[in-house]
Amino acid sequence: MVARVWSLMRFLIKGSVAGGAVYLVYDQELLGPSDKSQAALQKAGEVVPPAMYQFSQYVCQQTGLQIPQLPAPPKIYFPIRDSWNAGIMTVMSALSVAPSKAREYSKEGWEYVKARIK
Amino acid sequence: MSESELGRKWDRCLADAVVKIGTGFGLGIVFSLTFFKRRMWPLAFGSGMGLGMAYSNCQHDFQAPYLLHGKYVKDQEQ
Repeated sequence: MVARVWSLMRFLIKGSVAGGAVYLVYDQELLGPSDKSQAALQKAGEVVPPAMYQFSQYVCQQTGLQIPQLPAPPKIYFPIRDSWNAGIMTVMSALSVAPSKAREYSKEGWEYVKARIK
Repeated sequence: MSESELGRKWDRCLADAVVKIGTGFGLGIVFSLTFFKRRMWPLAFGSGMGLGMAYSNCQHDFQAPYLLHGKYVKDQEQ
C-alpha cells in the first residue's frame, strides 16, 4: 500500500516537473516564430547576468566567503562580416585575373629563358 | 533584399536556432531524467526537433518575399 502510494507520488512529481517545463516553453513562446525567440534571447541576455550577480552576492552573505572581483572581459571588436566580404572579393578578383596573369608571367618567363640561352 | 535586411534575417535565424536547439535540449534533459531513465535519445530527439524547427523558420524567412499565398475560390454557379 505504502509502496503504491509512493510510486504514485513519484509519478505525480515527475509529471508536474515535466509538465511545468513544457508549459514554461509554451508560455514564453520559445518554439514559436523567430522574432519571439530572438526577443526571448535578448531578454535572457539582459536578465541573467544581474540575477547571477545577485545570487553570488547572496551566497557570499550567507556563507561569509568573499568571491574575488574578476576584471571585466576585454571587448573584442572583430567585424566578421566585413572581413568575410573583403576576403570573398579578394579571392574572386584574384580568380578573375588569374588566366591573364598566368599568361603574362609565362610569357615573361619564356622571354627570360630565351635571353639566357642566347 | 538589401544587405542590411539580409544581415538582420541572418541574425534572427542564428538567435532562433540557438533558442530552439537549447529549448529542445533542455526539454530532452527533463524528459530523460523524469520518464526515460537517463537515456540519451530524448536529448538527441529534442535537439534535432529544435534544429529542424529553426531551419524551417529560417527557410520561410528567407523565401518570404518570393512565396505566393493562394486561396481556393469556389465556383459561382450562374
